Amino acid sequence: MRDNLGNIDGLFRDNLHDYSAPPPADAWEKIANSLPMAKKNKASYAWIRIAASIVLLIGSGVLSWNYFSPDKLTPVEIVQEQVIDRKDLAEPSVSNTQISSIPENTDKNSSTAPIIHIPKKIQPASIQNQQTSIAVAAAGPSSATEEPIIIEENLIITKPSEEEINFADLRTIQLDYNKDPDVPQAYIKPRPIVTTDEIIIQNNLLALEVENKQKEKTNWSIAGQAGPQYSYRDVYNSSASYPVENYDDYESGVLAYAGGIHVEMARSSRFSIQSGVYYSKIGQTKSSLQINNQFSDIGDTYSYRETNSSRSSNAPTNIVNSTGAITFDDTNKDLSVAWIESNDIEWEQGIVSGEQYFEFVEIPFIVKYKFIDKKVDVNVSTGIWANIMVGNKAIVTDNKTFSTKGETNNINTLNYSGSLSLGVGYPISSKLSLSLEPFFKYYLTPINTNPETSVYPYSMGVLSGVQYTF
Amino acid sequence: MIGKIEDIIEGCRQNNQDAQRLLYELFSERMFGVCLRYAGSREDAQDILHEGFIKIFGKIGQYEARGSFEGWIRRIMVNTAMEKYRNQSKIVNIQDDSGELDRKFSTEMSDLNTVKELLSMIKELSPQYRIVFNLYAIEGYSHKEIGKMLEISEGTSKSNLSRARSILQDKVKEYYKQEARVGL
Repeated sequence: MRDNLGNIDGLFRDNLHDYSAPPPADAWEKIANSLPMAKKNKASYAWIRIAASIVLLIGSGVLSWNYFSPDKLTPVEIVQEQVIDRKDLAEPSVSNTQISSIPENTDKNSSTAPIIHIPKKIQPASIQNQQTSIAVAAAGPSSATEEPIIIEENLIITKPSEEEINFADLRTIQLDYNKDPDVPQAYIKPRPIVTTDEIIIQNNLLALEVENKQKEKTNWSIAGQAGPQYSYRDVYNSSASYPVENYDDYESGVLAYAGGIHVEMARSSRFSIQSGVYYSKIGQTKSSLQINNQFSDIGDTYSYRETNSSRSSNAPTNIVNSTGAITFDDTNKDLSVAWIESNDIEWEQGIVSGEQYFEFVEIPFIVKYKFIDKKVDVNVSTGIWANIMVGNKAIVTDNKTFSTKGETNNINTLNYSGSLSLGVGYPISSKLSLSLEPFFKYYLTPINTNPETSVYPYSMGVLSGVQYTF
Repeated sequence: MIGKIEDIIEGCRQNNQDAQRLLYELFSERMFGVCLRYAGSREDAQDILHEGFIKIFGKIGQYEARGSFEGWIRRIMVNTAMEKYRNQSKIVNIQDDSGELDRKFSTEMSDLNTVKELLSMIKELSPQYRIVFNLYAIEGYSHKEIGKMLEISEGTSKSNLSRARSILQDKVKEYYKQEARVGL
């Protein structure tokens, strides 16, 4: 029997029975961590950031290695031109001409140096086919370095005179048959003095001249590229109570494509900048969607829910994923779903898949560095892209007859992304070349407007294309 | 993203964190209010809330859709509160002879100041009085039930209640005097 007095009871009961107060902000997190199957909000997407860092590190390492290592101009191989007296060209050649040593000759202006003709026995035709090399011991005064000088006899110049011919910018080698007719001795005539260093310098100067000529000219080219790309995303969640892994469990990437045209301007032989217009299709899929067919008095109603989730929504369907809410506006659809066995007697379930796609027109600004500049070019590029959304589609389908279309809400129209790529160019004519360019692109701004959950799409693929240089 | 309560319960049964979080968000404030009534301090109230929800999620498989779900949650929370003090309660077996007090108090002024003031009055009670008063006056248990829950006799429950009422009446009187309310 309850007291009827209880007014003190009543006072407290009326005021405090429904009393509510906000618990501390971290209370849920502690509870969630104590529950079974609680997962910590690990950065499970850390691997992609590590991979991206490694790619950037390797890229910058390659760039700096090539930038800082000086262009080595190969020291010229001194090609000696041997003088042949025309009238000496009569008989077949001597096959071997071995030189054993060089006598020292420090006198630059010596005129006592004997001048030797190439033996009469050598004919020009056969000389050209001959590969007689004269190895000169590195004892000559004009060899400024310790390296032996390799001389190749492959140029024949005929002169009327029997005198030696001085080449202003080359050394002359002289063969001395006086000591031993069978073993001519060769020495470098000091005049004109052109040391190895000087030859190298002149060679370098020539090369620089050529390069400068190239630099003055600005190369323009236009290229088209297209190829497949795999796209997915990183999700960042500012709310600690909802782990990112919950999204990652149900979502996965899609294979789509990209392509475009760009114009490239090269001011130097190695650096160029590019801009153009591209098209890119990215997206993601949501697996483990179920359609529940509930039979009610007013007819069939359909709702979607994820496997192992209680969250469901009715048609018009409304699916939520990492990017936010996806709404569908097809309300009357014949549903033909592959029904699966279900323990839940109330609901029949079918498995469907959901996909969302975004299409962008993208405008890049790219800097390209050609670090191998031979017949086949290899280059590395990095750039910033401004992406304008032109398509936003979502599809839920059972792969048979059912399909409903919608779009994702709250997506930014303008986004920015950064890219890094490695390119290989293979010329097929003087102006045309084929290119193959694997790339990685990462969004720098989130694609959705939700302040709590940010989605950063990324994509990687290979573009192949053709480039035309003006 | 809020679903029907049945969906949430179903999700919690499957240990879906999403559903569990939703359940917490729906009920945490009310349950924290309950904890604050039973606890002697805010820290204790937090502990009760924490343990209570863990129990709720652990036992949700046993919930049958009978009666109010909130009532079911509330009972678990109250049980958790009692467990904390069951050993602490120094139950004094006082003969129930203090007369029932017959004061009428105005319950019209239910503003927040009143609520907070009343809450602090309850907090000032020693644990055994506080718990019995909560269980009897606010939750509505009988002395028999309280006896079972706290493992005390009915008589002890009655005397504890009586004592609690008396103390609270004095405090309320004092409060109203200070407030100089019209009508008393």
